Amino acid sequence: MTKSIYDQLNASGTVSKQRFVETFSGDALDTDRWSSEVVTTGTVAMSDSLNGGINLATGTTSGGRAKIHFNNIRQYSPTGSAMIAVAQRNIDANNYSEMFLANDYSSSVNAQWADIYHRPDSTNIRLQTRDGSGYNNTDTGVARHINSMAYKLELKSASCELSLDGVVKAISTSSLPTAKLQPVFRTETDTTSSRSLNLTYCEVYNT
Amino acid sequence: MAFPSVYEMTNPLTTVRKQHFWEYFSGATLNSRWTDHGASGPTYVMNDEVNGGVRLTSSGAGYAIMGFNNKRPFDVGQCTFIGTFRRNSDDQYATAGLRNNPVSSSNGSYMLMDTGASNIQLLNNNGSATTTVTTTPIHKNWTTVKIENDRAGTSIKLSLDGVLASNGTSTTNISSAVGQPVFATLYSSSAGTTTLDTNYCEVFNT
Repeated sequence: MTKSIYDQLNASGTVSKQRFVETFSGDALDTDRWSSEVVTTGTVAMSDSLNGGINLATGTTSGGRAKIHFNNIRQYSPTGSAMIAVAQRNIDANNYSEMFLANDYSSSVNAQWADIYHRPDSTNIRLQTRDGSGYNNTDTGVARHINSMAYKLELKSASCELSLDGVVKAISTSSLPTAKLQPVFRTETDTTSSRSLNLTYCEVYNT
Repeated sequence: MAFPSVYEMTNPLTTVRKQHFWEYFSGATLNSRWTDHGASGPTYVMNDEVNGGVRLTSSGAGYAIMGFNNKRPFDVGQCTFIGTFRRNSDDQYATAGLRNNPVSSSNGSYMLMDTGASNIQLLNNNGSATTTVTTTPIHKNWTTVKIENDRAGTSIKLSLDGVLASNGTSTTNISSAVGQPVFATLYSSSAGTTTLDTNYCEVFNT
């Protein structure tokens, strides 16, 4: 029986690269790790519900947003990292929920990211990659939904893959980010009622 | 290397992971995921001691209870609780497990060491209570408590240090409520100070 978590995750003789795991359990979000923000009157709060994790909820003003991120402390590689997240949106319509490995949490101007894209302008879930000057959308063929799902983003030297429930559904080979990255989760409404995103798990690691 | 990710240690990526957390109780202060539900000045202090974890201290007629402030992502009747546990006081009522309400026995599933009784007990409740008395005497040693709540299989199994406790299975009054991990300590017969230590807690829905 292997005695250590280290040995379960790292080959003998190798130095572990940066990794973190967040289980979104307990009374309060770990604000030593995460920064949060809302636009208008949203909330970022632990959920009192079965498998509820944390709830990012917008207010009831169009354009309202809720977001968590690492406040631009970026320890993950654009050419060798992965993010696994379990998430669930509450309502499909008018719900702009996205999960990123992003260089800058605050702006889409000259953005660099890999984005799990749930937006009303696409019937299906997309993978979007941005390199600071352009972007590439790759359709997963999987319709947007409001079920809990396991998402995995993997950034490699010349591609970015998105897996949904363990199956690779989209691969982008253009407009790949080149700058260091952090996890970012956001939800936004474009109507006058709240939209939300629940997260129960997030793991990011360099490969 | 056995696994590429922590996720895949317990779930394939083809399975959506249910809520699962673990806590090492290491560092300068107790993590803010935990909330004090006690009374009369309880304390929750990290132990400056090898394998010390965190120490809950109750005083007088009060009690020390820590939980998740009623943030309840777990299914009391369909989840597994693992916790380490060491009680230190001669007159003590100390518990570890799942509860819907940290200060109520209703809709809970937890292990009890009560100096008013001889043996370790498993208490569970869905509005009606079941008390299961094991054949294991209470003690003051570190012990690993595992409670496997399986409403679908109509059983709750208490294991101590990796072994299913003799007379440690309950089959009635299994809760369907949501819950949170709770550690609690107070006096059993006469008001006075009690302490309880833990250095690990893990809960996951099954």
